[in-house]
Amino acid sequence: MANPESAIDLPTNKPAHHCDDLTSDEREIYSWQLDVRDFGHQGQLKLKNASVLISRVGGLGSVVAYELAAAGVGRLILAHAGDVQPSDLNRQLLMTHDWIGKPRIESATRRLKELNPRLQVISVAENIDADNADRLVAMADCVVDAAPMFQERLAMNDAAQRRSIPVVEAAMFELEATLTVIHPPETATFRNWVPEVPPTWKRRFPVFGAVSGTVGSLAAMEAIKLIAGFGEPLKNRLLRMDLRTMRFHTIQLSQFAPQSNKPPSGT
Amino acid sequence: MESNSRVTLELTGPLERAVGCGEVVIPISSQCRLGEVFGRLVRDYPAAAAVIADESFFKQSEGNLPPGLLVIRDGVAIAAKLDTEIADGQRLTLMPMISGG
Repeated sequence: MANPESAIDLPTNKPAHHCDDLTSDEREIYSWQLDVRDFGHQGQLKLKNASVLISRVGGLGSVVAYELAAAGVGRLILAHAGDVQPSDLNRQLLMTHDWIGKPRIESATRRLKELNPRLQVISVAENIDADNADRLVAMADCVVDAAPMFQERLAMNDAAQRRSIPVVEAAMFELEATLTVIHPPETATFRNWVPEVPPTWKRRFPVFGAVSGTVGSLAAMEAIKLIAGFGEPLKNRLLRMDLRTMRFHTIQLSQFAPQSNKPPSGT
Repeated sequence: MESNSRVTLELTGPLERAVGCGEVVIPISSQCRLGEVFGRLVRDYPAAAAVIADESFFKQSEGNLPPGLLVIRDGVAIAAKLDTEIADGQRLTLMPMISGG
């Protein structure tokens, strides 16, 4: 299947699809969430007019994308290189067995459009790096970092900081997961904790799809709260989840003072 | 004279997996700094070095922690350095940063 929206001709601005109201179909589809306290019609309209960049739609990002598509976010910018592998299928819920050996980004786009044909998807068959991070982040109102590589996480966070765009940071290992929201100067930067790529970090790690699905759903909820402007996003707090013991607790990050967070230089 | 001071370390994620348990108790000197705690951890549990850093890194008297390692005390991630003072009986959580995938 051809990629319907090429990585070459990306729009350079924020949503070109601004809408002033919901359609009757949308009122019906979102009727269960329109009644959520502090959300309502205005919150739904904000989602419809929003763009979210998700870095990789693997185990974690696929669930983020699916939940945001279901919730009615207007545009998703998805960045993920490579073809579907058999070992993706325990957790990457937008990938299908029939798509093994074909581009992941196409499988993800196809599945999201099946769920929500109104959704605009910018499909980028690349992983985020220092060369494309600014261009991709500039199109978004919110970024969800679901990427495995610290190089791309640092590049994406730097670009988001330069544009004051919030980043939902989600991660997992075995049966553990963490979640926080980074939005300097309200919060510390990602580089306050990870100034450079940890030299001992290993790319492959053990994990269940149910763990990535859990933290992916929570990350999507953080993005929805940030866009619609309600609730208490996890700013200056880190949610740590241990699904082996089902202990969830929140760690305060307030000691990482944000006053010295100057945006990193770049394009 | 050997001190009777101790610090308890909760290990998470890849650090717990490398060491093989989620909690260790480390003997410390009476005027202990965080670098000494880490140095003792990787000396007593060499597998920990593969996740955080080897013992030579922690022989510095001051300096930053290895990148991507959070130290949590009483529910607060502390802006710690290797010369941060550690008291007898404290409980610290060592949390290496993890990723998506």
